[in-house]
Amino acid sequence: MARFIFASAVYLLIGLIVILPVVLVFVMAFSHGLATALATFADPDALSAIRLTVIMTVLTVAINTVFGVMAAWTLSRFRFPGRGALIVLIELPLSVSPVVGGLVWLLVFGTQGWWGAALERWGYPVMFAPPGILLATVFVTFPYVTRTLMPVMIHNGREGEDAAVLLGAGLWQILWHVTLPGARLALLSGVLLTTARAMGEFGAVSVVSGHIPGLTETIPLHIETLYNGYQTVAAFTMAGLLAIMAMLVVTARTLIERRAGARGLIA
Amino acid sequence: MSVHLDHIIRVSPQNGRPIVNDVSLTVEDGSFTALVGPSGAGKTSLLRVIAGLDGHQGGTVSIDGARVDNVNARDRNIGFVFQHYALFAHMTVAANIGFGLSIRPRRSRPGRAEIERRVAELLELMQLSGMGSRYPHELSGGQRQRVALARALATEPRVLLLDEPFGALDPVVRRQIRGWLRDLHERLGLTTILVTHDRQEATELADTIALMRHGRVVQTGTAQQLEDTPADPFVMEFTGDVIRIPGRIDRGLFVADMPDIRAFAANAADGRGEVLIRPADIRLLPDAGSAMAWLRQTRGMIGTYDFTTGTQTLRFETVIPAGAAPIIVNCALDISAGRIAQGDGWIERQETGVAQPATPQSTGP
Repeated sequence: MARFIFASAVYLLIGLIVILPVVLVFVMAFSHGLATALATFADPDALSAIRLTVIMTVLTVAINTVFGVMAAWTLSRFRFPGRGALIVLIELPLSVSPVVGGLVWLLVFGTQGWWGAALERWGYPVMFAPPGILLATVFVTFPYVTRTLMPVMIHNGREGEDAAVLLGAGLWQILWHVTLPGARLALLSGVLLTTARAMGEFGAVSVVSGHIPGLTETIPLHIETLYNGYQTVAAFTMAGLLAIMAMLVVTARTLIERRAGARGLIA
Repeated sequence: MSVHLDHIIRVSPQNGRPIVNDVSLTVEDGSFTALVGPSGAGKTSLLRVIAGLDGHQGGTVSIDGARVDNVNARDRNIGFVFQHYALFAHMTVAANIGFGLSIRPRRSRPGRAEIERRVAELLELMQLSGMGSRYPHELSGGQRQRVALARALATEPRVLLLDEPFGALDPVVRRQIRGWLRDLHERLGLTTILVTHDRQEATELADTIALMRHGRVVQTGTAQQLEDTPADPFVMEFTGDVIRIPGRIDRGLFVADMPDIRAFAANAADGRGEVLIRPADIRLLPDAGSAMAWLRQTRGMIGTYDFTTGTQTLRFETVIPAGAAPIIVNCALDISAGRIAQGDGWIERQETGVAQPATPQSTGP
């Protein structure tokens, strides 16, 4: 009986908080018919937002994967002074509001900031330009790969790596053939989390982007612009697109995990 | 290939205490040596120093006469079997075994066919034929262990190091694998160093035993040497059953605290002392005292006695005196075949010839 009540409560909650809003997004998007919804993508600003989002996401994931792997490996393998502080620092973006993250970059790279004016003079504007958006997104999604990878690396222990060393493997061979494959589900999980988060990031990007339609608007920013301009259908269509992209990422993750599970790779 | 350790010192990176404390040891070419001792004795640490996985702060490691202190672990060509095997879970058995060959730089890497041939050969040797395409999680403990061994042997190492390799196996498999491993050692002409806390395992497998405690090698020798002439009370207790009988030395005699134990000559200054004796060396002397010995159990010529004197009882297994009744009254004990310990060492005895002067380290044959 208790099980039934708990299960019902969970379903109710999931339905209200997760499923209903998503369904509403699509209902709103298609409220004036499919053609109206699809017309959203005829707008060059929308296409530009999609392109920028994809580029930013790919770059962010690449940067944070390389960084995350290095950080997780270092932190799980070695004991050094300040290790604890480093872990806290890496986690900082999780606890700090994204808006604060954006403001910090503005302070450093903005025209009022330390290097912003100089960079702008040399023709490399960072704020209100794609590099700023990249910085902000990297900052916000910084901890995910490290945080998912590190516990698994610690759990897997050193013995496999020691065995590889004694068999003659070098540092890169160990990382590539032993450490990463041993933690590849966690790595994948971290990468996909980073992807989902990078695609949807609003707060930090909003501060540094400058909201220039067609130039510095990602999908989330474009949605806001559309919505504030009373283009409800277009706003919800873009939101639907973002939701579909996120769901694809989550589905990919589930599928890969299931296939690995079937092959007994989750020990 | 011989391994020579000279005054090795390794201190704990956490608290700076010595884990391996001034260990010198020679492992002859082709020998099977066991590092034995209670947990925390520094056996595994010493093995990792030999392999080059952990550094050492003092002393030298030589393999075949050449110092390897500055040689990286990856270049020492040492086979190592880890306690929990450390197989690569995401690789097939064949990929595990072939790993050491397939990661070599292109110049020295054997061809794919050659690696496959070598892997098949090792699978055959390890009695794992046909299992090459399985994953480690699909194997039993004994099979995993043999895969680990095959992987360690694939690169034709100079020395094979085994860290508690039987710990995770059930007793039946353990016994089988022991005999088989000893066989393999002979057949391949390996130089093997085994870490174990199991005295019997060491006795059964190794020609030479190095008994460790508190980071030091207490005694080196054959199992028989360690049992017959233990360097100190710890070695004696570790190598077999021991009965401890406290007492004192009084004007050249050892006098036990218990009554009805015959005093015997002890050539030492007066003071406290304790006799350590193998139960089988205890002799019951009928009609020589006022104690009672009650035979609880017999096994051939050996009996389990409860020896009671006053309120104290000793239980031990020893030879049944000829023609003795199951309950021997008015008896006493002769423990003069034992050794007298004072602190961590022996008190020397000269007159009986049973005990020899204690030497800190007697060398193996």
